[in-house]
Amino acid sequence: MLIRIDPASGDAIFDQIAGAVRSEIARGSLVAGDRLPAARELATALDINVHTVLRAYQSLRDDGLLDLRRGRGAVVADRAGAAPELIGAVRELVDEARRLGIGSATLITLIREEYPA
Amino acid sequence: MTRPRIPLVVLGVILPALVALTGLVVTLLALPSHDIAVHWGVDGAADGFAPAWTVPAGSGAAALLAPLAFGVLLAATRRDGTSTILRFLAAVSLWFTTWLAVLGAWSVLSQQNPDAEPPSIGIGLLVSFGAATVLGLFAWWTAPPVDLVAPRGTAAAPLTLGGSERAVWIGFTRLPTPGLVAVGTGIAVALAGSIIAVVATSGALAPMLGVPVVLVLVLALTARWTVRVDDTGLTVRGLLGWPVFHVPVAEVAQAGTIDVRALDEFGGWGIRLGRGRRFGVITRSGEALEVQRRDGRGFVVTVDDAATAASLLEALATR
Repeated sequence: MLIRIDPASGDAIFDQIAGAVRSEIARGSLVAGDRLPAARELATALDINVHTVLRAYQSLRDDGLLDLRRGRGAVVADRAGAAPELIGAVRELVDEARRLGIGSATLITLIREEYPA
Repeated sequence: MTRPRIPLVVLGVILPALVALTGLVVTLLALPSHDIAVHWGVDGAADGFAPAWTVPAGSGAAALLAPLAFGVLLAATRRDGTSTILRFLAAVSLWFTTWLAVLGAWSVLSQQNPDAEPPSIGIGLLVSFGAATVLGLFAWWTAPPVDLVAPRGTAAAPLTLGGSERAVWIGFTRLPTPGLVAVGTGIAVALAGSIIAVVATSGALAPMLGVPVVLVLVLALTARWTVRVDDTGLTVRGLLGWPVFHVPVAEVAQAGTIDVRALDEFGGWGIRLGRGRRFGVITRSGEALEVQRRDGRGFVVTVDDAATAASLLEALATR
């Protein structure tokens, strides 16, 4: 599992980690039942706070992509398989937004309005 | 049939079968009509007697089992080429057959005189082991070796990393389930065997119980590994946190992927020394991350998605 973060990018680190896990699920290198690395190990390797990693894992659990189990750590949820099916539609949407000159912030706001948390 | 297979058939099937048949013919031609010694005590003196025909019927027939079994094995493994295990088994086939055939022939030939004292088994064992070892080694050296050039991977295309970007790749690798079942069965047999030994000797062999304990410990230490690539380099850590192997990023000359043949290139599974100064953490055959160090040594770990790990390590090493 490849996780890349850029502290200079302005996005919250935990969002970047969650995004990296999402794209690993989307490209199929993480599948249902796979274990994620321990939060402590990931935090040490990226030289960030362990709570930042835990927060990323929790947000992925809230999205139904991970199961967090005491003792077993973070495991990719069975429902996570649906995410790759969406990636094609998302790419089309992003291409369309680019064509219309709509920025990413506006696109995300539009999605939020359609799909409130 | 591919080229390396013909010598395997000759050395592991045809030659042993000829040796077994020769032994059988010699035994039958020299067969005495009187009872002969067929069993010897631990001191080497004969303590069991039977009609002479039991020798060709017993050891003569048993000698044919090895080439038969090896022939079946060769037919069942349809893969092209050879492997270390096939080469070894061809040698074992010839060794086993020669040992039984020579021992059978010796026991009949040395007991032609019904009035003489039966000879000690010692000489027979010495002659048969000697002949078997010579022929077994001959088969091992004559059998085609596995193509000796261990393939070297090419460098992976480095991942593009921004100046302030941090990246980590973490993967897991473990012994495949059939391997675990095989090892588990072996441990269960060792446990049963040592319990029987301890009970049969009223506790005198109690230290034997240490054998299955050690086996379980070794399995626990080497069955599952965490593989991590970060800005410190490559770290491979066992299930219990130990052993740990580390290649510092400054020592990485090149990172790439290769296709590993565990048995042929590393002689098995686990923590291995392979051909061409390569150290390996090997859980299976197939996709592996290969790191070439600046001092010429190599480090290989079998893991899925090794290509991504190699690109990241290559990027970190050249950063």
